[in-house]
Amino acid sequence: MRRILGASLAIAVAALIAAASIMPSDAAVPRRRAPLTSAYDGVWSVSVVTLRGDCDRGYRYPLRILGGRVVKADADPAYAVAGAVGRGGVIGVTVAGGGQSATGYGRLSRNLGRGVWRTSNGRCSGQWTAERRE
Amino acid sequence: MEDDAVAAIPGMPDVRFWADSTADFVKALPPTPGPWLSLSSGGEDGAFGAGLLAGLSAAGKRPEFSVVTGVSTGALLAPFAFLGSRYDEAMRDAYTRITSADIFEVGATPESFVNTWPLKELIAKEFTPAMLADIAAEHRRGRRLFVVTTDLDAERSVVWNMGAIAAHGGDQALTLFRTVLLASTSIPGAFPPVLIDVEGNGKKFAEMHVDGGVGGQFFVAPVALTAATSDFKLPATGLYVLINTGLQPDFDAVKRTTASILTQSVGMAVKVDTRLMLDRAYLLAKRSGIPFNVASIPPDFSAPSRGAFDPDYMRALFQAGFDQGKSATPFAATPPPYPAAPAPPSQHSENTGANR
Repeated sequence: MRRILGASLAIAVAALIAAASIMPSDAAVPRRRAPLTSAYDGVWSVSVVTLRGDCDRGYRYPLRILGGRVVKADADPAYAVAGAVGRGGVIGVTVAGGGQSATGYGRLSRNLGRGVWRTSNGRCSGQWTAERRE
Repeated sequence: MEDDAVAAIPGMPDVRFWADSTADFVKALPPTPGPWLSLSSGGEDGAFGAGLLAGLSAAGKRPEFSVVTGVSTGALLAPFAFLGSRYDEAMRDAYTRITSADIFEVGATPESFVNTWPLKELIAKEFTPAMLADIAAEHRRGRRLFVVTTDLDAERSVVWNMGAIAAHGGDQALTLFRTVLLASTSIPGAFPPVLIDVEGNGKKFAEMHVDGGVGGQFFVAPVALTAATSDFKLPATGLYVLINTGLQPDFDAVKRTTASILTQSVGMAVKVDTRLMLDRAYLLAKRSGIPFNVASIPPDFSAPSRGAFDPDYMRALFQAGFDQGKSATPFAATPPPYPAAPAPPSQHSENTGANR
């Protein structure tokens, strides 16, 4: 059983470890060939909540959409991201790190988004929401 | 360096002092003595302190503290503790309905491992103009609310007189109030530092402030006054110290990663620092002839945590604090005993040294 220590630094660092532990090494771009759209291009912040399974309860990640493709918005080597946005804001994203991966699907509107996600091994699943930051 | 030593907030010269300045500290104190409350660092474990205060309210035995001080998560808790039970609902929500997504976004910045823009927005949501007005009113009644940050350039702690800031009123005061809270919780390296615009000797510049816990896990008085060699007596009727962490060693097999090693090391250092500070605070209270009261997370609390700021874990910790606050003995009169060394293993283990 794990107790988060009182020190804030400890918490933040632990968070990074935990984040890396559910992520991956070989992110896969969704294989759908639907036309991409640039309507949602920009930096988004995605809040991920675990509703089933023993993964960490929640995290927030920055993502960038560029020409309809979803890429990382930071240089953190601990995880990789790949995905795409199609017409109507339909989105699919895979986040990978630490030997595992999770895939999310959903829909974006102009400045918000929501959907569901699950790990590739079925261990955990939940919901995500997104807000456009830039 | 000279500019930094005399720097002040433009238009608000009276809202802070160096934590090592005994003269400025004494000058900032309430006109009449009363009970003092010091709230420690502890991150999400601040849920314990929030629960304990709510439990004291529920039992009808929460003192009106004449001085409330806060460091790090204790800084976020301090305004609620200062304003009393009418803010208990908001305090509970703040410590039981958040996840790490409300605190930080994964992804390094040039100054930190993660970005804390979510925490900045959360602080703006929680600490409203109405709350600022209530704090200003209590300040005018003679009560004091202090929050500590660390001026990293100067390697000195700064005490912010939050009531004095609130009393200035207006947008600038509200922004500064929130900025100080963010700075007090900004663990260096993990969270970005907070730059605060000041003016010294006619020059304008920005100071770099980080977590108040760097200079000590809670604040009672300048260290020169709490020292064993000092004869200073606290002008208080009682000292309450609320420790938002456990104080016992907590075994956890450390992974061979930089982050894991840092996590365990800092966590251990915080406990050691807290213990030593508690001893000092206890001696100060004894020397001052006032009751000493301390509460910390009970050693038998064992709720599981699924990552940082797990709301289930925080709710369980809030409840543990609430139950303790409502109990007949919410506080101990002496610092918790140091744990005894574990018994030596009965037989030699081949698996010694690093790491399992």
